[in-house]
Amino acid sequence: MNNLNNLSKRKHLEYLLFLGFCAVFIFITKALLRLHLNIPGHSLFFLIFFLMLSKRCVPLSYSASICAILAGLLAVIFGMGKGGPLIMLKFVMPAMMIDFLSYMMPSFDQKYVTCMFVAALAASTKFISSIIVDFLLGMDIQIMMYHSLIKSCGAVFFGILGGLMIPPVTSRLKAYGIID
Amino acid sequence: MISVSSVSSKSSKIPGGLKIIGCMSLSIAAFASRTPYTLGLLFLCNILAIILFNSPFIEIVKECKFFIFQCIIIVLLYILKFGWAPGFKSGLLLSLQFVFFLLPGIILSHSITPAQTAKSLSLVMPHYLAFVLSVCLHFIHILLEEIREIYEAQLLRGAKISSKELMKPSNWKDLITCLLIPTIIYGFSMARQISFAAKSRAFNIYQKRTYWNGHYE
Repeated sequence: MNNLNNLSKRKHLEYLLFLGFCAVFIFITKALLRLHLNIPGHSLFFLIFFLMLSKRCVPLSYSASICAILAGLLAVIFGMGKGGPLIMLKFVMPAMMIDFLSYMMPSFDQKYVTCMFVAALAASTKFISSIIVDFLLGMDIQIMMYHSLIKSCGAVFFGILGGLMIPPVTSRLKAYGIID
Repeated sequence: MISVSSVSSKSSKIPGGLKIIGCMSLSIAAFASRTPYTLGLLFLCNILAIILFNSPFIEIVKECKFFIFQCIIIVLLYILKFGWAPGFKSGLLLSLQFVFFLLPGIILSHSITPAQTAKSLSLVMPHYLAFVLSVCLHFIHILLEEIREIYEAQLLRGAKISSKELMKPSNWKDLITCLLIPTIIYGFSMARQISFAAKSRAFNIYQKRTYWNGHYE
């Protein structure tokens, strides 16, 4: 968080508020999609998109993670019940992956291939969160693997679709002078 | 936004923090419940929570439809591995465990108001983050309204984003350029305005945080 010290307090607050609004968008899309669709992993489409967008638009070291924490807190506050106590994990794990990969590939948003790669890896963390839940429930290891794999396949597919939206959106935002 | 709107207005007198702790404890207890007896006990505890927290029973049952799909997958996988009789029994027990793990979250969503939860969370959260979160909570409806206005304005401009036109994948591009981009830009400008407004009101100048009680002296 070294670059936080270089920012003015107002700018810092502005960035945090934008991350908060991204979290609101994640929450709204997750809540709305939950009502109409029953396809496994479809909510990862907007989750991955907004997490990657927050990482790209806000020049803070852990912007995706902050956005995910805020989205997780919103989900806890409104009790979006499908995660139980582990709902924060579902938001934070893909965000941490995006933060880590953006550290390794700072200009990931410029190519479709790198966006797909980052999105796929971020969405694949659903496998881990699913394994943790199933393991704590005492599920048989082989069935636990199959169950998590079924759930994460859809998540990766929709995550990649969300990631593919990043290059056109960022190029548009650059054209409007919103991001550098 | 079902979770937000369907919270009972005449919720029980139990404090929000206690409801959160209660529901989380029930959810965690599902991990330890591995026999039919403990699962039965957990079922009674969940029913008790619904009654105590004054949650709408029918709406909770409606939300439980999601569990059917999950339970079928788990039971089928167990039957495939262990055979019909033992697989069905173990799969069913585990499915019930899964339901009781997620059910308290749904009970909580129908029994607690956002204000109650925010007040409870402010005890365990930094003020700065609490401010951002409270702004976000406050602006959810404003953002939704703004998205609706942008959508209607773009429809009038001739953008192909009506629900009928969006059935064609060739029109999805319009959704990004005409709705998503303006919404993101609006989010940025709103964040800028709020940060200016907060700083002009001496936000975060003093170490000790003060709260406005909502009344003019």
